[in-house]
Formats: sequence, structure tokens, C-alpha cells
Amino acid sequence: MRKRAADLACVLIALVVAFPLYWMVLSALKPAGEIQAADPRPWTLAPTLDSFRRVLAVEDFGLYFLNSLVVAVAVVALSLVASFLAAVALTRFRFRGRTVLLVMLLVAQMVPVEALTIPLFFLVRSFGDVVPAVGLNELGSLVLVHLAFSLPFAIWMLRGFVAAVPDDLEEAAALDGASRFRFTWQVLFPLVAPGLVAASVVSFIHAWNDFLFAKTFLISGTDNRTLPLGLLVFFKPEEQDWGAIMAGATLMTVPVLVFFVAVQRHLVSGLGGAVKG
Amino acid sequence: MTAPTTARRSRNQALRRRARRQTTLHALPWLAPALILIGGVVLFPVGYMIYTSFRDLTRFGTDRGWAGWENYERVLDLGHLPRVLVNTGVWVVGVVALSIGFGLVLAQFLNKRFPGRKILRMVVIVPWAASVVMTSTIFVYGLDPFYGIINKFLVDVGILDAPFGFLKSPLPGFLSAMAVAVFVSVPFTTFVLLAGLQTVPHDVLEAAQIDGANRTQTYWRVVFPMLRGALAVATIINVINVFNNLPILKTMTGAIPGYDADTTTSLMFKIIQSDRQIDTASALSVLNFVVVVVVIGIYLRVVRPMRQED
Repeated sequence: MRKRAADLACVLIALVVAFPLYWMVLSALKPAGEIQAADPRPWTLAPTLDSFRRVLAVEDFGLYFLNSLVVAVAVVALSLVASFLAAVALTRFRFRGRTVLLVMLLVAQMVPVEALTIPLFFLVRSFGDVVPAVGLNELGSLVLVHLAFSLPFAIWMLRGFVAAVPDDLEEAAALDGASRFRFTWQVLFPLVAPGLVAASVVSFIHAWNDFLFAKTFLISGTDNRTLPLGLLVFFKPEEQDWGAIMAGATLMTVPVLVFFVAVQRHLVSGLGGAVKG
Repeated sequence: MTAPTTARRSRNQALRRRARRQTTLHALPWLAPALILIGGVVLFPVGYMIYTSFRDLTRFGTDRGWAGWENYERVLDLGHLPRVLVNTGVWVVGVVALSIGFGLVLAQFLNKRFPGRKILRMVVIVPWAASVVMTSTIFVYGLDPFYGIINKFLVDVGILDAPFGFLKSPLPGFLSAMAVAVFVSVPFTTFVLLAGLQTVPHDVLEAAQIDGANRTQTYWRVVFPMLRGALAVATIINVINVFNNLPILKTMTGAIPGYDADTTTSLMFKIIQSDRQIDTASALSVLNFVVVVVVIGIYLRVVRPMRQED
């Protein structure tokens, strides 16, 4: 009896959670006549790829996709290195101001991102004067900003993992003649891997799904548009092209889901680092 | 007898101080990339925002000099501020409490072994992986009174007599947005709490069972207290994200005229977007930021979720 109830709950939860995803894919596959039909049905008898064709017909859709991928991958890679180094310093070294730094990380996490778009716009514009690659309309600007905003949480999460590696291990490695550098990359880094996975998931999602920064920094260069910006064409004030929006959303969600499924096993143990605080 | 000891102690202290200074120097290269990035790209703009909140800016961004507390006074004089503040309180407390509640139940469930657990875990992740803007858009489409599937479902089941324009008026619009906010917050919350549940050792649960504790007692007396760290992380991150969330309200209730469905964050956005008052918006953002910092500071002080490590 109890087992039956659990099965039922399982199915119910899955239905509620998965329904919007199902609806998105279904609406993307519906023929034009059914998308705004007065009597919406949760299935379609005439699936078509028309909406996908409309999305892919947008000039440079492939380029936008690639741009998004480049930004997200660069953010993940750089964020992993920077946050790992900082997490090691914050757990393995004793120095004055450590607590201040930890509080600073927490405060940086609380920053209202939406409110900072204007100062960030000016900042990125000035960066562009010095290093053109991270200026306005450049993908580098997105990498830089997402990278910085991903660090506080990533460091916070990795700290728990680095702290869990016993000091004895480091002493043993030192006795065996391993340098601190060698110990860090060959012993510590692999031990912290689940934390790195969880941290990269979080920063990947932020960079991949971002509308706000892309809209703020990429104001004229169409070549450097990211995927979300490319999809904005289908949002029209009065008559939205729901079929294309859903097809675009589907294409945008699939890579993240693939990434998630690939690393899902490590995610729970990865978040454990943050939990142990 | 005391004199040499004192001398030795002070010399020890000096040595220790020197050692510590050395490790500070050693730690610096490790910290530098993160510090420069966070300092330059996150905290510096915050400083700029605070600076702007004390300046008098025109609609076109020309700086007309020092404004004192004028921008703050203008924020506090806004006629719709009380309503927006109440909304913000309901928004943050409601969404975070519901997300944690659902998250606790779901995490407990996903921590058990049952067929299909793997698949369910993957499904639960979906709203976290999808873009919040896209998820909100899907709900806008689903709630449409003419062709929305959610409306049709509610009518078919008999909850509604006729399709209802959820996003046409402030209160239902705001509550729908809250529901979506819970929907997108639950996955992260669940996974953090699941991570917490997995730190509870098996022998502790067995010991509780041997001592004759029933399921409810075991959960509230043994498991729940051990979730303190996970609950703290889930609460803090959710409070920050929910407080600062703009996309959901912008997508779902942004078209409703007036300010009855706004939180301080969406109000800030409207002040920039439609009134172009960057200085006033900055003052509001600073107030927002201070509120978040104070709320979380109080939480950390009162609940003391982080065990002292040193």
C-alpha cells in the first residue's frame, strides 16, 4: 500500500515537473493551425518541423549557437581554475583577513545583478579602450562578466571539498618530494573533481541562458550575438510566434540537458561541498 | 621567572607574525585571479552604483553634481512604495518557504531507493537547467485564456468555470509569478538538501531505530538537525536569488499597468526603463542590497548555521 502511494507520488511529481518541458517540445512540433487553437490538446496528430525550420532559417543561427557555446565553455574553464586556486588558498593557508575575504565572497554573492547593468556597461566600455577583446560587442565581455559573477559561489562550494582533504596527505606528499604545485594538481585537483563538476554546472547554466548581459553589451555587432538574443526576433509585442519561440527554447534547452545528464551523478556529491560549508 | 617567559612569548609572537605575513604573501598569487575579477567586475560596479545614488543625473546620464540624500528621499516618497514593499516581503518569504518545503519532501523522496529514481532525478533537474526567461514564457503561453493549456485543464477538471486571464490583473498575475518562481527554485533546493541528506550516516539512523524512535521522531529529532548546513545554503542562496529576481516578473506581469504586482527589484527596473531615472534607481538598488545583506546577516547571527571551523 505504502509502495503504491510512493509510485503514484513519483509519477505525479514527474508529470508536474516535466509538463512545461513536454509542452514546449510539443508546441514546437505542432502545425501552425493548432498552436493558437481555442481548444488546445495535449497531443498532436500532425507533427511538423515547420517551427524548427523557421528558427533555423534565421540568418546565422548556427553562429549564434556557436557563440553561446564559446562563451559558456570559456566561462566554465576559466572559472574552474580561478575558483580552485582561491579555494585552496582560503582553506590551506592561514593568513590574516581570511574571514574578511570569506564575508566578502558572501556579500559579492548578494549583489543585485540586474541593478548593475548600467555601471557594468560603462565598465565594459572602458575595458574595451584598453583591451578591445573584452569591450562592447565582443564575446570577451560576456566571458569576463559571467566569469567574475560565477566565482563567489564556485569558491564557496569548492572550499568544502578542499577542506575535506586531510593535511596528512599533503605532508606525506611533501615527504615524498612532491612540490606544493605538484601536490595541488596531481592529488588535490582530482579529489575535488565532484565539486568542480557542480560548480561548472552552475556557471554553465548562467552563461548559457543569459539574456541580460548579452542584451546590455552586444548592442550593435550582430556577428557576436548569442543564442538568446538571436531568439528575441520571435518575441513581437502583439503577435508572438509561439511555434518558433518554443522551437528555439527547445534548441536552447537541449545542450544544457545533455550536459546535466552527463554530470548528474556527480552533482549531488558536488553540492555536498557547499553544504559542509 | 616571569620576565624571560614574557620575552620568549613576545619573541614567539613575532616569529608567528612573520610566518603569517609570509603565508599571506604565499597565498596572494593563488587568490589574485579571483580577487581581481571579483573586485574589478563585481564590487567596483557596486561602488559605482552607491556613488550614482548620491549624484543628480539627468535622463540622458549627464552628471549635475552632488545630490545628498535626495534620491533616497524620492524613493521613500513613492506613493506605491508600501504596496511594493509588502509584495516584496510576500514574494521572498512565500517563494523561499514553499521552495524549501517542497525541496525537503522531494529530497527525502529522492533519497530512497526505488525503481525510476534515476529518471525522476533527471526530470526534477529540468526546470533548473532551462532558462528562466524561457520557462516564464512557456507559462505565459500556457496561462493564456484563449489557447492556454493550463486554463483549459483547470476548466476541464472543474476548478474554474471559464478560462481566466491570470496575467491580466495584479493579484492573480503576482501569485502566478510566485508559482513559477517556486517551480524554478525547487530543483536547486532539492539537490542541496539531497546532498545534505547523504551526509547523514546510516548507523545514526539504525541507532535511532534500535532506541525505538518511529519515522516521524527519527526525521525531526535526528535527520532534520543534521540538515542545518544544507538548509542554510538553500535558504541563503534562495533568498538572494528570489529577492533579486527580475525575469519572471518582467515576463509574466510586466505588461500589467501600475505597480500592484511589483517587487522592489521590478520597480527598480521600471524606474530605469520607463522613467530613465538612473540616480533614483541606484538609490533603490542600494536599499535593496542593504536589505539583503542585513536579512542574511541576521539569519547567520540568529540561526548560526555555519559551524565555527577554526
